[in-house]
Amino acid sequence: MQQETITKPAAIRSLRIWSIIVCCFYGLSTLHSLNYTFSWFSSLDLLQPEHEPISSLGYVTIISTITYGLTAIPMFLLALLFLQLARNGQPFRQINVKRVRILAVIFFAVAVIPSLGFALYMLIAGDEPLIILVYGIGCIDTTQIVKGLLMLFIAQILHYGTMLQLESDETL
Amino acid sequence: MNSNHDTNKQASNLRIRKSSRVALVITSVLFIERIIMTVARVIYTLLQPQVSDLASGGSILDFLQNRPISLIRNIIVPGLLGVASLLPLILLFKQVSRDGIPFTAKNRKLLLFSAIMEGLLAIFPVISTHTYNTFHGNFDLNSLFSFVVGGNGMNPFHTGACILLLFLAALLHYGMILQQESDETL
Repeated sequence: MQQETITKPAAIRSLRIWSIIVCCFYGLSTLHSLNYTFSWFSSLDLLQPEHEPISSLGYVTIISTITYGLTAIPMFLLALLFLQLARNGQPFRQINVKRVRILAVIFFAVAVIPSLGFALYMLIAGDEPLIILVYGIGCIDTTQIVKGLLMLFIAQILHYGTMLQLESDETL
Repeated sequence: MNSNHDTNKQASNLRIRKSSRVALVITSVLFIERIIMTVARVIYTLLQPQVSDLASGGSILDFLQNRPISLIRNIIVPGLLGVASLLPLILLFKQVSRDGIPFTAKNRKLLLFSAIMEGLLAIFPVISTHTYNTFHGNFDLNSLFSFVVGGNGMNPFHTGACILLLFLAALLHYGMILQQESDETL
């Protein structure tokens, strides 16, 4: 029992340290994503009246930049989540389960939104429905979907951990 | 109250098992994809110079004698590290999909191993480049300094994966203690 009282705070301390490191990483990633997006938009001379219509290739570039910008949202939320964890050192809470599930939904949205935008553009341009479907599905960011699924898995683990935490608190 | 808690716990275990199966399938697909890509890249690199070498009177043996380090450094080692980082995750998901309990010492070790592999994958290109340059007399102190101080040249995706896996290992460690408490109470 004595050993356990030593181990538990040590585990929480280690968890808090790693939370700070992960928080810093995702904070920097957010800044990197925003920097990339803003620098691209500032270099794009869209505001000039004599600019040429955006080509298909230009549109793809815009879509990829928007995707990059959108990834800043879950990155920022992850940084906030880990900051909260670093503060209180309690990962197994129901609120964290909800937050991680919301993050999973955001990851799925980030994966699909650019694809929908691209499909809409092709629809306006008057392309064939089959081509729209093929290109639209091709534009879905599978990395973000895998990240979303990973978040759902972590949410399940956190949910199970919440129950164990409840048991532990009730025992004490 | 207790029976309700137990029912919830069992339901949670079941959900973990189900999501582990999904994760197992995705990781296995990625694992196979990495193996295929590594083999394909090796074959492509071996065959590609062969055409020019044959045109100039050389053979594939000349290529292997001339540039084996580049092949090992750029394709084989990163490919092997990538496979080695996914294999523990496959074993972990397989284990969790069987028993539904994520908080075990074995799972934590598997996560740590995967994290180490991801870490190596993140820093390997930079370290190999510096080592290669040093051996060939092209040592660049400025780029080495920027790597050591700012981590320049490190792969951000693998760095992030490494950090996240290390965090998850710490989370599993804390969960292990809670699981032990729960088992002792029962």
